[in-house]
Amino acid sequence: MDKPYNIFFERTGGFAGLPLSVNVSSDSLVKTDRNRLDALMEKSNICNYESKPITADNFRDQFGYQLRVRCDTEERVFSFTDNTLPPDVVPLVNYLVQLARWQKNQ
Amino acid sequence: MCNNMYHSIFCAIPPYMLEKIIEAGTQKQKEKAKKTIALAGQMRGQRQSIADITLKSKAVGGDKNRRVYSAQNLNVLPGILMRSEGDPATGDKHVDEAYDGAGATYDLYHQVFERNSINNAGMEIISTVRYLSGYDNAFWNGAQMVYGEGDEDLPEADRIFNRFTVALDIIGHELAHGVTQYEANLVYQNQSGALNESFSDVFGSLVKQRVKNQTAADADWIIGEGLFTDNVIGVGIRSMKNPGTAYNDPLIGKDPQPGHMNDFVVTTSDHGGVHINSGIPNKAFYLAATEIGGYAWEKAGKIWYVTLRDKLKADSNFEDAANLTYEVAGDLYGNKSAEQNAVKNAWEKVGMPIKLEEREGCGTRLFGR
Repeated sequence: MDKPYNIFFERTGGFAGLPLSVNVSSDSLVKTDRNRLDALMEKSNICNYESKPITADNFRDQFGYQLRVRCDTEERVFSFTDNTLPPDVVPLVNYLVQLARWQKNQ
Repeated sequence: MCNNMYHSIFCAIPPYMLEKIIEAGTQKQKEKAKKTIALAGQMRGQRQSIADITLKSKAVGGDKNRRVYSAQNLNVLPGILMRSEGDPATGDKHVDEAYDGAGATYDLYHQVFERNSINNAGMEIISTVRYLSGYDNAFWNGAQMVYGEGDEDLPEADRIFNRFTVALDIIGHELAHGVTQYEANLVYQNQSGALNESFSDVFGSLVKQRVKNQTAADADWIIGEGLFTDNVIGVGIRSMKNPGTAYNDPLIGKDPQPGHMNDFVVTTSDHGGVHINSGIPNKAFYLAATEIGGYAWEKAGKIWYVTLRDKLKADSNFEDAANLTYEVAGDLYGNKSAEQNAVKNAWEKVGMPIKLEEREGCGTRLFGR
């Protein structure tokens, strides 16, 4: 991924109800981190998923995840829950969770 | 709280889970991880949901019937069976706490409320521990309870959460979501969703109080005590006695729960703030239980349970909960009884006064019903 890009990530809900979010600008990361994020973005194939709203189910206390990323020319918002999170997106989400916690720590 | 061994944003090691397991896990783990990823290709190109692959708990009649599984740090449910009803302790804290907690919760419903398990028809109580890696949560998935390990994958200095089986009231909370699903089935959005959360906190707290043999006056009314590590300034996740005071920490912020309708939080986040505004009915229960006195599960708990079982509807709101708990208190203990008065006082103190219409010769009747 040659061009700089931004990702907004938010995790809500869960038993504790503690929200967590981070706004990442790829060009603000050091090279190793940028490479890691590039790889996770590519592996996640995020832009090939449909932007569907979260629908009601019988899950209670699960996390809700929202990712806002630029796909080609348009910005798209993807919403998932623990129940609908695609396995290929899991590593990206975990990285963003840790990034959000790390930024809060600073 | 950063460990110097780690560079840049990797000061907290991200658990790459499936991909990492495929890279470095044991043969068994690799196979499971590949299987999980392979599921992505199923169901017309869409991921098969966790719910779809969950083995549905059997709805059978009979006695207490618990099964505890381990997801072995994957997200396939229920996982590998670790302990069944009557088996001795395994020595694995996650497994044994889930087993014992499910038992204490079953006992509350069975011995106090004469309810036979989650569905009142002897349903197996299924729990899965070690869900994913570094998963800071516990949830009910419509058929079973699921618990994460918290931050056990991180260096101790970076940990916020302990394992989610550590607090008995968390187990009681999750199982109560199952009971609610089979009864009022409160819609998980806005006020009905906050009621759904509150009923889970109420019964979770009652399980804990009963095991500790505490009266309402003796109980701490903290939900999730012990879940935070020592790195966090907080006594638990929520306080039913004083909503908004459970934690105040530089990293995770301040407990946002209100304890009065004047402070009701309007938000679209988390299904309309279901984990925030639950503080209001939580406090109402605490106030009713302490005014009634004695063991909270005996009278206040009974009032709340019967209201959930027989009165509330899927779209009920706080006003409905106030009016209907008042009505049930009258049914169980008599109109104008001390118990009914305590319920009335409790809701009034959180800004939700009971709305009654006196009808001569017809006793009391609730508005709008």
